[in-house]
Amino acid sequence: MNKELYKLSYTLKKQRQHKIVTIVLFALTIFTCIMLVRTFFLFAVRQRSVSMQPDIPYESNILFTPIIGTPERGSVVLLKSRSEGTSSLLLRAADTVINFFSAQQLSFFDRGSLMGSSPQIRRIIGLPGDTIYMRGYVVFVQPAGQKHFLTEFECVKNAYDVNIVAAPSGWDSTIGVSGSFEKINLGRDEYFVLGDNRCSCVDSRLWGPVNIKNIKAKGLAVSFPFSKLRLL
Amino acid sequence: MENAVSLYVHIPFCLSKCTYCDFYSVPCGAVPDSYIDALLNEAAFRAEKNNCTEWKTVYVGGGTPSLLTEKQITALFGGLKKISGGKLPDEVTMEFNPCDISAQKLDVAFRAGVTRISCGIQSFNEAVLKEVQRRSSRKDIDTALSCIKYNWKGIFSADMISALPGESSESFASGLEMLAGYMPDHISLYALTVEDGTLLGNACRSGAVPYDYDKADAMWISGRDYLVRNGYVQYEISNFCLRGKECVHNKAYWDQQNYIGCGAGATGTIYGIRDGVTVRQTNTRNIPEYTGFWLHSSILEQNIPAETEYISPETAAFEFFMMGLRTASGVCSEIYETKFGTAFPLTTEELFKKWKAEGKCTITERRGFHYYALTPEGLLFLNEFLESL
Repeated sequence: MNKELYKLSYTLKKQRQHKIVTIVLFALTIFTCIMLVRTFFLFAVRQRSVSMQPDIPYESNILFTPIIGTPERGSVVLLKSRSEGTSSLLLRAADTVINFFSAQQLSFFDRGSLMGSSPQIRRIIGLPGDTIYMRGYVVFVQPAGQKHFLTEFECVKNAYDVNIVAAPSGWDSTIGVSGSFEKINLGRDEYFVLGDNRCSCVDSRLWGPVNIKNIKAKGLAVSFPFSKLRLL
Repeated sequence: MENAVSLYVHIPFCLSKCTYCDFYSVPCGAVPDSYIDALLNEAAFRAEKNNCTEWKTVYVGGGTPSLLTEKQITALFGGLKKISGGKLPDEVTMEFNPCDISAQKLDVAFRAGVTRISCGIQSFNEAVLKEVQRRSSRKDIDTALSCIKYNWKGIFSADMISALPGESSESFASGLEMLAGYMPDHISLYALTVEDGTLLGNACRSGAVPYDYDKADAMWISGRDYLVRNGYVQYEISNFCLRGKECVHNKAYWDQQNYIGCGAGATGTIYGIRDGVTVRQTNTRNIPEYTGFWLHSSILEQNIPAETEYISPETAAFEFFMMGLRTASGVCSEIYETKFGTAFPLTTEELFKKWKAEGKCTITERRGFHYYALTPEGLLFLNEFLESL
């Protein structure tokens, strides 16, 4: 009976079409809003590495914002994959579009098997203009315009922990990712980033300083597991 | 005129499949004699077709070549020797699973002409070996290493993999120390690559097995540094050796020299035989089809069960960098120009200069030849370099 009515009544047919269009538009608007927020304001990243232990454990969720401003010392940042940083503007634009419409499920640059190619979470230790050196996995920092070196922990507003494991017997801190390096000066827009798990992480000790262009987002909080819930 | 070509022989049989392995192999308790006969027929045919008068190097890999019986080992190398004018080259490698190593088998292999064995250790951690379904246990590995030490007269190479699931930095370090204690002439230290389609790949994708690339990279770097500190020379990304013990066979791949591939699933490449076009042929993986053809058919080239790929000069030029830059000696611009008949690309030279300024590349001149090589740190970013080409 209902089907017959829709066949006969022009008004009912229009009303039904209007209802469908409204529902589709509503869903699209919601999807677009969520995607806009996730792309430009706030998104979560699953940490699948021990590189930021102990503060950011393996399999934790971290909330990031792409609004970076001027990164501060001690901030946790998400880096662009190294291939993304060197690719053309066109490819990066295409990647943004694909990433947006696939709800962040697809990317040209997400190729985890290449060293340093997947996005990585690290902490900013050195800022542009700093002179830094490392001994025993701890960085000593002479901020621009200052006379003395301080440990990295004395230069930050928010305290953080690092993980330093004693090397196996017969191995020393020069084997593997180095626990020491001589003084280096950071240039304009150059940031020195390290993982908190200093013995089991690949970072600026290997890549060198990171340009601000290669910082993708700033960490806001650990949202999961709840036992590690904290602002970054 | 003598023409020596390297030979790769594939034995695609395993008793069990390791979860990370993406090499072609089928489960099998024993290697059929017919497969060895087929292999020898193929080797003879391909040697003749490519005017190969002798083998430059021979490498028997798998799969598990050590599943071959002593009789089959003698037959295989005896047959290869016959094809090669009655002599085998100085380097004849055979891969061994630690479980298959015995004093008698090593002796048979040596007398058959094998001069180099490559033993897949991968890890010394019992739990890790179980997790990745290696056939060998820790006890098998200890027994095999001890047997090699007292019975093997040739060159000994061992394979290790960093960061297999369940491997800790400590267990990896102690395993590498233990291996170095046996002083292998050659160690291949691979960073685990999780390949799609493998059991491990599927487990990682589903989240059943956690995998941490950061930790894996850091572990591999510590292994590299440890080996270099203990007298091993890193002559290729994943290969380390005592001075003068480089694997000549692998150099054939890296230097783009011709090599013949025999066996089901094996690949061979002959450079520039068709107007500068390289021909790469990969045999069928279907073992009955392979054996049937090489044993019973009248052998016509067009009927060979294999896929043929024609590599353009542009692709071959890219592979020149891809393979050559894996090595510590790098690539030579004059060799490039001779091989491809074009000038060394200016953009590539600029890229090398940029990387040199960052300490990731060296540019040297020796006797009028210019060599471009990535430093040990630069080698870590080889893929990034290739993407920038």
